Amino acid sequence: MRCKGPLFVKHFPDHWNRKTWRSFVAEIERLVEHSYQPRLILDFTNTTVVGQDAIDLILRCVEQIERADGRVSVAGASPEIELILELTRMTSVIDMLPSVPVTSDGEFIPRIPTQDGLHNLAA
Amino acid sequence: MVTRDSPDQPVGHYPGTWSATWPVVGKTVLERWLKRVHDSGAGVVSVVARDAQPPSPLRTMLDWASGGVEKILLIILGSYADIDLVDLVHFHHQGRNRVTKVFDRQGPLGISLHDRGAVLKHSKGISSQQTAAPARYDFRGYATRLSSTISYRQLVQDALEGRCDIQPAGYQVGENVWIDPSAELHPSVRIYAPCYIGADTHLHAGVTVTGFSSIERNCEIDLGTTVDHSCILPNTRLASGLHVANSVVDGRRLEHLDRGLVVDLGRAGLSEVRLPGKRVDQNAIPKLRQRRSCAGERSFPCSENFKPESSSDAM
Repeated sequence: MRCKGPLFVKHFPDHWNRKTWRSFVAEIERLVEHSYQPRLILDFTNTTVVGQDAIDLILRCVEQIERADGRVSVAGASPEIELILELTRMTSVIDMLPSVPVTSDGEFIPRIPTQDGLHNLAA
Repeated sequence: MVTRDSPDQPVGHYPGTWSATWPVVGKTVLERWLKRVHDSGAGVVSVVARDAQPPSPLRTMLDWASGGVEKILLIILGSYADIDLVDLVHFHHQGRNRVTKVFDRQGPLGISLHDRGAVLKHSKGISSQQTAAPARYDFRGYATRLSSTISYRQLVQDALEGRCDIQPAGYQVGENVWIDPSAELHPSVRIYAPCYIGADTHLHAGVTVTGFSSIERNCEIDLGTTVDHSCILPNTRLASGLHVANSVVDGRRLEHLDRGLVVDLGRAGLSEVRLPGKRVDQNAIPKLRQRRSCAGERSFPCSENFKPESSSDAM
């Protein structure tokens, strides 16, 4: 499915606790409320480990984004993480990107600010 | 016989390498060699780890030669061959060889037959240059070197396809499908020949086994997981909903053969080591990832009810 809506990039943390997990989910929920057909890119560039929590969180993101007819992608994942995502069949519901995409100007797409609310950063 | 690993206990191994403790459709290569040697009529068999101290493999050979053993067959456990050991002994005897080494098209197979005199001469410090050159026995049958995980996987595939003499353990319940009588398979399990399911292994509802896969003893495959062109080594428990392809899984460790990658599945809660002899504990299932209900699941002995699907069905 091609999404015509806004593009968001969200850094995917390496370590989790209950608070960061909830905060992450809350941000995604707000994103869904304010956009139609959003494309969420989870930036795995600095992520070294994928645990059960992370897999559950990606699934939660997919659930939320699909409510707004959007699509989730994972960018910059290591080969090991990519293998685990394939093994769990996550790749059937997410797109895999080799790296975080850049704009036509060659600039990196700005990330979702963690505290300042959501902005439509790259329509 | 000389093994790289200790014959008594498994050892950790490096990525991409094969371990002598890994079974090939029910029995390890060591066990298969032992049977082959016993069937050839050998009197005494000894298994020595390559780095064992004491006794070293050489020390063991010297002890036997000193004790009056006339011929010593040395097998360095790094290969599998469908070799007729009786024919090897005849060749050795007819040629009056002191040492006979077995070769295939790729080179030596690590199998040699030594006369008592040659072993004793070696012990006295007489170098191989001073003694007659070893005779060469050219073997043209099935042989493979178990140097890597890929070659191990190939051996399993060859055994399931009948390309070598290895006979899978358990009952043959269909064409090229072997299932141990103690395995438990849910009625909804889909099996595509050829494949092997080992002893005390439990396959839950919706599991699919395809692509020359082997699931060795005491494994547990949870709901809806697919095992495709893969080997699941003993005492491995896989979580639900996975698609394991072109891999060898040993407990928590998965090695992907095409990509040469090794990942720790235990960290992601996708697999764990299943204790030997432990029966299925439904209460323990939620510890692993479980996305579907197991309500309505029941187990039964495969030999009574299970019918494998034919290869043509899989296409």
